[in-house]
Amino acid sequence: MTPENVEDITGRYVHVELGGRDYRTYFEENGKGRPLVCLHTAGADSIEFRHLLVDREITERYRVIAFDMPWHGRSLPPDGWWQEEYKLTRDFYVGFVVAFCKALGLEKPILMGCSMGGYVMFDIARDHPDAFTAFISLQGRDHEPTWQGLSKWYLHPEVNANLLVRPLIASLCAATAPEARRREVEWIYMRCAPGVLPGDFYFASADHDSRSYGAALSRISDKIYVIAGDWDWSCFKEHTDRIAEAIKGVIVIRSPDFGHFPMSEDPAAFRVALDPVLKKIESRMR
Amino acid sequence: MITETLIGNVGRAMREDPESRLAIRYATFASLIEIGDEQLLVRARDGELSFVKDPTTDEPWDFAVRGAKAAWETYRRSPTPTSNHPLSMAYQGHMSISGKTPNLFRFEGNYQKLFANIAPLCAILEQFRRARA
Repeated sequence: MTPENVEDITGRYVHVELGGRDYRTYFEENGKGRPLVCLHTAGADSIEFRHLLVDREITERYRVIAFDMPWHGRSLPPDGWWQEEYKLTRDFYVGFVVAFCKALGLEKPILMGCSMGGYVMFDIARDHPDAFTAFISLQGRDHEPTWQGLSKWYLHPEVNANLLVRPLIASLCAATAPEARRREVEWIYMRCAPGVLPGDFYFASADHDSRSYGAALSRISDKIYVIAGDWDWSCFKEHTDRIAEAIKGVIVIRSPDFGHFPMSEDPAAFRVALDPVLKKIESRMR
Repeated sequence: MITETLIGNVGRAMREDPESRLAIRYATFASLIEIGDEQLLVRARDGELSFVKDPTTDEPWDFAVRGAKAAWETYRRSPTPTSNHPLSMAYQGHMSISGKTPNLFRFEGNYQKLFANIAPLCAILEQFRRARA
């Protein structure tokens, strides 16, 4: 029997094969039911979903799984990393998420990702519409070229990236969110390895562009959901309006209570936004 | 807006607030804060702050934070999604696709020095938000 002061989250590693390389990938999970696979934001890791992973109302119905992408958190980069610049491409990202789910033997999971994990929802939905039950994009965008404008300074030898990132994260969080939770996101980001955030920005700003996917995604729009917080200056209403115009029938839920990191900065407010989405997915499954 | 009271209160808060003290330690830079047509030079030397109101050309600076008086007044009221933080106020316009979300602040000068010191700068600007003028 697990003592009360031990959380029910289990952390393990799975070997994911992609492009002839082996990626020893860390993931955490808790719960029973349909898999709900969670994708972290750029420059962060699966710890962002720690609140959802111990949310009993969720874990009674879903097997919540959150994993660290290679180069992030406890998933080391593959051997040879020292000879290459880390750049997350669309093909690798989509391929890796699919390969991870396959490696765990997951049957049509629900996918949910935040920020770059929310951006890639549109790419995966286009390339693999039938492999997943639903796609939940948190703070998702169809195209955002601005992020990588900051990339140079995260690698500059005379700039401390751990300190540079903190105000950026603070600026993206809701002023109304619980202070301890907002500060937690700042800490998560200060742990990021050098070059990882710029490498993720490559996907977010250069390689991801789903503006032309409207027709394809409209055909499966009953599987696509967008949740966005009003305090995120990278994902204001004007940004999700363009997504809603392109993907006919997509459900967009906006919240006045959180910013760029809903599941981390205000877990309670996030649940208010997430619950109706999960209910709709469940009703569609019946 | 840049009164002796405001400068005194910001300086005191930076010395007394634990988080601000941690943020500013080791920092060395000179920053021009421009509020409409008022200017204030903020100098940090190994974590010690000094202020020069209406600096002349004899007072060089590394980077500037500029904004209209109305933008600073907005910043000093309760935060909103478009006035939440100096960084968002300086960059939100770049991400706007409608053109209807303006940048309210502008960073200028030596960007390497700016980004090397963005954390202590934002700590100072946070006290500018809170301090009584």
